[in-house]
Amino acid sequence: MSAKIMHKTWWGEKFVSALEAYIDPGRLQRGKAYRTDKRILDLQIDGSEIKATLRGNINPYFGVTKEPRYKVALKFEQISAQQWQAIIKSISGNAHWLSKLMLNEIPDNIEEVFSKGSLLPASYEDVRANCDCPDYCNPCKHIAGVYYRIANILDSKPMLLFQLRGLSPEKLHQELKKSELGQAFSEHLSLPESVAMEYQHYKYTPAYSKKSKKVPAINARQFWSMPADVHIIDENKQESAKLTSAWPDTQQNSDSITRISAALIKKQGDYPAFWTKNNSFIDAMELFYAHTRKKNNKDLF
Amino acid sequence: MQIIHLFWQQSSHEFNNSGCLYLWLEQAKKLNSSAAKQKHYYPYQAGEKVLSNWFTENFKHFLPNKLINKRMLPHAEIEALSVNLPCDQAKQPIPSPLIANLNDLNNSDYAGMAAFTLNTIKIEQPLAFLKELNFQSYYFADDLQLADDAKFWIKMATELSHMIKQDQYIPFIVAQKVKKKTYFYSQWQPLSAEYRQRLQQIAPLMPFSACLPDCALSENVQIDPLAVLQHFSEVLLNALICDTDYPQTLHKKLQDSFIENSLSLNQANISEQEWKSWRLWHNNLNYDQFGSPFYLCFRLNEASSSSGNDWSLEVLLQAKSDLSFMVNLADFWQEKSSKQAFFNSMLGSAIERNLLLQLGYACRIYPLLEQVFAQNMQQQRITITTEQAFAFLKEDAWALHACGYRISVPSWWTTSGRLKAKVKLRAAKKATAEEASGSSAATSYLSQEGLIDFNYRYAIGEHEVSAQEWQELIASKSELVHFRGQWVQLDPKEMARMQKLIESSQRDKRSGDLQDLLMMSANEEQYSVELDDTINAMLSNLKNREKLTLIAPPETLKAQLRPYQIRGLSWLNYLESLGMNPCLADDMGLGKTMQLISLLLHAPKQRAALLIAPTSVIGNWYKELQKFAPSIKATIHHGAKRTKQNDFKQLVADNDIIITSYGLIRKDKTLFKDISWSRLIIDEAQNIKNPTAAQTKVITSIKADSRFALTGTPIENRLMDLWSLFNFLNPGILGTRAAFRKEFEIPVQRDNDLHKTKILKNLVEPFILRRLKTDKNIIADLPEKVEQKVYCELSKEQASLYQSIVDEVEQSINETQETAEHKMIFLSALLRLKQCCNHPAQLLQDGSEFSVERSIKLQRLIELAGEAINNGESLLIFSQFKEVCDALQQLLKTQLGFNTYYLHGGTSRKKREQMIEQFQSENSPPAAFVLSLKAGGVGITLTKANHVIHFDRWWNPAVENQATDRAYRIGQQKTVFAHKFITLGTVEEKIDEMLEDKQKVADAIVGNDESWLSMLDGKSFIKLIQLRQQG
Repeated sequence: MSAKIMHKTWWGEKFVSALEAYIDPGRLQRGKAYRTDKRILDLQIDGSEIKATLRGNINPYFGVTKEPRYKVALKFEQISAQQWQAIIKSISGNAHWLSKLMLNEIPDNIEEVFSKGSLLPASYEDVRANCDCPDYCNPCKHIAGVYYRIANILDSKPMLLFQLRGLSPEKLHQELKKSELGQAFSEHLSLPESVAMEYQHYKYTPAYSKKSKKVPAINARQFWSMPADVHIIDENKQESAKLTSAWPDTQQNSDSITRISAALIKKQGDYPAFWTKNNSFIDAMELFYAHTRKKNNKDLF
Repeated sequence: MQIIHLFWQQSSHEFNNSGCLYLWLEQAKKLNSSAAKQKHYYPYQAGEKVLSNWFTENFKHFLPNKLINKRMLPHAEIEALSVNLPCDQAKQPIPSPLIANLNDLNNSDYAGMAAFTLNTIKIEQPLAFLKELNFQSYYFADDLQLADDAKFWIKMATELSHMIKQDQYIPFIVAQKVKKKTYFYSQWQPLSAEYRQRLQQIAPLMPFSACLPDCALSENVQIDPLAVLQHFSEVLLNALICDTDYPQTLHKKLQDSFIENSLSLNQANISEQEWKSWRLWHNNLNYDQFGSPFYLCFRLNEASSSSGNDWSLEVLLQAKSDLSFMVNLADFWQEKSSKQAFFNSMLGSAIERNLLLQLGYACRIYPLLEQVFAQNMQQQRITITTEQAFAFLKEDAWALHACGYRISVPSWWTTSGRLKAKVKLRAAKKATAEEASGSSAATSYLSQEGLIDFNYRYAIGEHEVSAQEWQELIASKSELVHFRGQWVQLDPKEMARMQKLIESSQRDKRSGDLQDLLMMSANEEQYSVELDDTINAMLSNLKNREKLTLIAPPETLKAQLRPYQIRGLSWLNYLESLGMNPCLADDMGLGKTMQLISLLLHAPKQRAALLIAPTSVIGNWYKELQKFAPSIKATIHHGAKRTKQNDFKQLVADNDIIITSYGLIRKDKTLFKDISWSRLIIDEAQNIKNPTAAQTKVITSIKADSRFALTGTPIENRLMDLWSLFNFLNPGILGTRAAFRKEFEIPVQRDNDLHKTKILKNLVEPFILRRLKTDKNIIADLPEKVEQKVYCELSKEQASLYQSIVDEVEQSINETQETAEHKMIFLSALLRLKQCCNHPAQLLQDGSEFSVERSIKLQRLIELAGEAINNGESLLIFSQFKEVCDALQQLLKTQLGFNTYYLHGGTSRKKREQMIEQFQSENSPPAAFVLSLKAGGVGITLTKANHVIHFDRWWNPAVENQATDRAYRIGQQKTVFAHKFITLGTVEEKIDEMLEDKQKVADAIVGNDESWLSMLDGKSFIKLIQLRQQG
């Protein structure tokens, strides 16, 4: 199983394992290749239904001379509204789970609240899938491709699972708002999930700007000397604050402090959405920072 | 004089707006080449060739490595750039202050900016270059300096380096839209609240000259200093990464992600979706750094007993707006509904959301924190084990800290409070044979091998442990142990290393001298030194000078010592008695001379002492010895008529102290080296800062029982100077020149090694006493006004001119008997003698040079002024002669580059007020204000100055005091030092003596002006003016 796709998250892993038990190794292998943009031309998620268009293969042997398009449809077994209500209530009361969900993680013991069934489809039988390809077998490689694709999306957007199992976002918010903590989570989920494109006029922050705060030198000495600005207006204090020419003190960390590599980026977790690779983002960045430091150590103060 | 300037420039106003650092050399000498005659060419700069050669010679590693021609050696390429610089009405440039002063341009009125062409060199690796430049600046000759802009960029480079070393930057994508197409560029950008805050603090300090836009590119762009610093940081960060070679393994790990392109700054193939998901990630990091209204704080509470079963972690919320507001998480959780409005006002509106997010992130970093959620957040503390506590202290706390969480750990964990495993050194003084026999001759603790017994033990902090306990601790493998009531971190590896050290030391070094002891106690990290009572008393005296037993000022001293001077005397005496040679480095004006004279009186020696001083202060030393310690037989060994050969030995035998000048050291070295001196004293010790100079070598080779160095300038800044001084005082303490360079100079000056800096400081501190006028306990001891007489000799030329005037007067008096004519002769003679004492050029009025060599008085003035200004103090200089004032201010400004002001009878009222205002302004740099006594002696306030120099004397104390009071009046915050210059042996000295005696003489002959002099008869007058021989 050298080509086994390592799923980044445990739920992604578990999600595909439901499929993998129902498919022969050949289809599985080919199915994995169908999860990319090269094959999936279009993918729509509407409520708990998924519709995708895939690009098939020309196969003159079977009389297929024009590249075919196959349509795949997937629908997951629904969890009842009543059941959802109870589930959301217990999630809302669990700060630990909420904090994980906020960070786009599914708590590993969340299944505890799903008295009947589970959040993740336990078996392929919980999925109704079909494909219009000539393959008689279900799941076919196209279905498998879409399924793998969904697993990839779930890695970074686990809340999609709730939708796929029949809980609409509106309903989710409605239920969350019933408790204080749930309210906090609801607020978090309502934050814009995407951002608008921003374009820059310059590659680097431009050094010169049109509206400058700096008044021109008042005499030649000031032009050449530090500090150039002798008086700064402290906007908060509404009065002129005097600057000393002394450089502000650095709080030099003692060398006994353990250096923590790549601390800044670690906080947003491994596998950020833009990181589509399967190896660890943090691991790669740690290596990068370490090399940057090491190779330039002699040239840095 | 050359000044190194650096400026930053954005190289384009297009999208790709990279930037470069450029270097240029400003110089005092105006260029006169053909290039320099071109319009707009900046004249006060090094020409292309000079600049290129200078750079090539000093910064070989920074030359472009592309070789055009194999035979051509690499050399620095010059780029001519047009930039805006300040100019006057006539569009003539106004150079930087020092260069302007040297060219007498400081009065040019600033009229705006104009474009000038500069010869520049583009700096290839700015960060590495700035580090190298900083290192080299420690070795600059006196005629090479860094401009403020260059200093600014060096400081900026340290800030940027720090940011890079802390990994405080992230992958960054810039999107550009050209027509309808979008292009993406992947690069790097600083993202750190701390760094941004630093830049905001630093931006207002940036000199205008640190960023000069290219005039050819655009006119009238506005500079925003903060944006310049951001631009600089971004460009250099990206260039640094682009120039770094990364291994294949990294490329592989980053393959296919946009970050791989960031390594080479290539345009990246990025989709809008990818950009958006990156942007979201970036915004979240950004919010985390800058947006959240409170900090999450983790506090480790230590276990109460050695069982270690009650270590605990507490989670607290701390308001960013008021750091003193902290609330325990469980308390918050319980009260969040009842006190909602209050919490919202302190911690912001979305507390729960922020809290759950922050806690969630923290759990990722430190999974143990998940326990916080147990029991519905109702527990005040999470209990953890000793191992967990140690792991937290060692790793997790710092990981959390680096991610912006606040950490609170027990005080014993902080660097200052931490107990460490150390080698405990027990040192005990040996009873020596000499001591038994009562011989006191030259007991030098420093060089007596075997003087001190060393005994090495194991210790945890200050507590001694047995070898067995030590072994057990190593074997326990636990890194955090409860030891004698305290938790202690142990590093078994380090402990094993120390064990080896002790075992080998016990074999090799069972005894040593004080030097060994000092070296070991300077390294506090490794050694804990315990001493027997004798040595302990000694070392603690060295370290806590305030506790030194004071000795009584010598009764034979004809002066009153101030309390701090008694402390200084006691210290000098104590160090000498230990055979350790001290350096007295008190601030100017505190009376180093007096302290040393007191020592000579307190501990007289059989053999004579040798004092080496600059020519300009020899006379003063002699005079002060005579005045304050008449019992000491002193003589000056100087001038053409000085004693030679065999007579010198007799001279030494007849005197207690021989005063000579640095200038004679090499000429008369055999004389000096032949004698075994009791003491060798060097005044203005910065004269031996160059260890390779012949003069320094001779001085260090002169034999003496003890040595003393006096200096008023700080000596610890340039380590080579420090080494040279110690090589004179206590050779060996700092090791050989080469060892010192490797051990301290390079680590401290190049790499900013704080540990080494500390060891070095510990090592030299016992030998140097430096007190500043601004020290609290010194201020208390100082009166508000101190009058000092500054005695100088006449130069050879002055002496012969003086003699000829005296001869002439004598002749004229003999030729006529008329009193009225005598009166005229007297007054004219007095005037000419005063002029002669000031400077031959003033007397001769022949347009000859007002040079320093011709007048020792002038020499002394310049040294004094230089010392004051370098110390950041301003001074007033009074003379009654306008021509002297003219010449003085010209010299101070154009030869020394000092900032000067000049007030004389012809100064307009407006100009006068303008000058006073500028001089007094707090933002003006220290300056010398030259005033003619008549024009500036009354009315005005010049309290910025705290030194007043009376270059020549007005024989009326009231007039002089009134002049001094320009500085000594309401608004003055420092002690005012009035320095009255007097040439030795001349009429100046004699009248001064009469003035001093005035109170004693019932019917004062000394009046309010000089008219009383004309009452004298011819004989008395000749007696008054006759040159008295010195020494």
